[in-house]
Amino acid sequence: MALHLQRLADGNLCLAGLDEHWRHVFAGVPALLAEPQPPAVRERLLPSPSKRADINRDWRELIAPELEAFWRANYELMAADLGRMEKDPAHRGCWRVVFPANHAAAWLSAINQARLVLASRWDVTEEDMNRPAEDLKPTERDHDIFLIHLLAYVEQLFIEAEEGSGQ
Amino acid sequence: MRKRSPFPNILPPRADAGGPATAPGVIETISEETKTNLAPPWHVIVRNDPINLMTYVTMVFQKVFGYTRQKAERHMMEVHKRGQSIVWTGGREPAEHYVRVLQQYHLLALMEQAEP
Repeated sequence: MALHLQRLADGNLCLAGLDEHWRHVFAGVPALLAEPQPPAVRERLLPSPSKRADINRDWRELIAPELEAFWRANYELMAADLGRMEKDPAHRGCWRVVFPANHAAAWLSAINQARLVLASRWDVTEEDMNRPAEDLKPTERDHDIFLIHLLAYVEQLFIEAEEGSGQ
Repeated sequence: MRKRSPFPNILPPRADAGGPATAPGVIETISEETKTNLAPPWHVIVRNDPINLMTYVTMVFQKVFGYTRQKAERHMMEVHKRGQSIVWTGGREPAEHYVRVLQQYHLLALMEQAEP
């Protein structure tokens, strides 16, 4: 059964088709984001917004902590939802997680951020992203590039859910 | 940006830019509003990155600026092909707000004052 995201009759969202591999991938997202990030990642997530030093200084002091708190709330919400994962009664060997539709934005934020964190850690380029899957090698870097692609697939499910919600 | 590929809590621009109090007996010759109008506007610029999905960037432009899908895609394609796009132009405070929201969505957003 393929991974899919569907809206239930009661308005909640259900992410289903989670086999052991997918469970591992999803559990890794909040865990990755909770880790202290190296400077290259922080620079990508919190780039200087201006050429002016005074604006950048104020940004670092006032806005950056606000953004970090916002992102933390998002991945913690995703982690809490994942904590309620259950065996899918309709599909043997698969798991599912049901969560309120208004959590989708938080999931999308966390998934997108995880992709950026992985890419920044390894300095992934456009060229890297265009390599065919069969060219990827059994290295930690290529493993994470593959994970960036996997999470892109999931991210697209959430984008379509957001577009379908009319928000 | 990737070909295949948050959030509802978009805050309104901050409206906390009160003008300075006028000392007794001092006549202001230029109002704060007039000064603001004379200042060059600020551009909100989004730069390309190889990770954010094209569909994601389009969705963000629609949510943040209320752009139609067509206009949002036009800006997204400009970011993708030319490396950056000026997605909004106006006063400094709203520009700061938009950059903050775009960064909240993990876009490479910055602000730059237009040439006088």
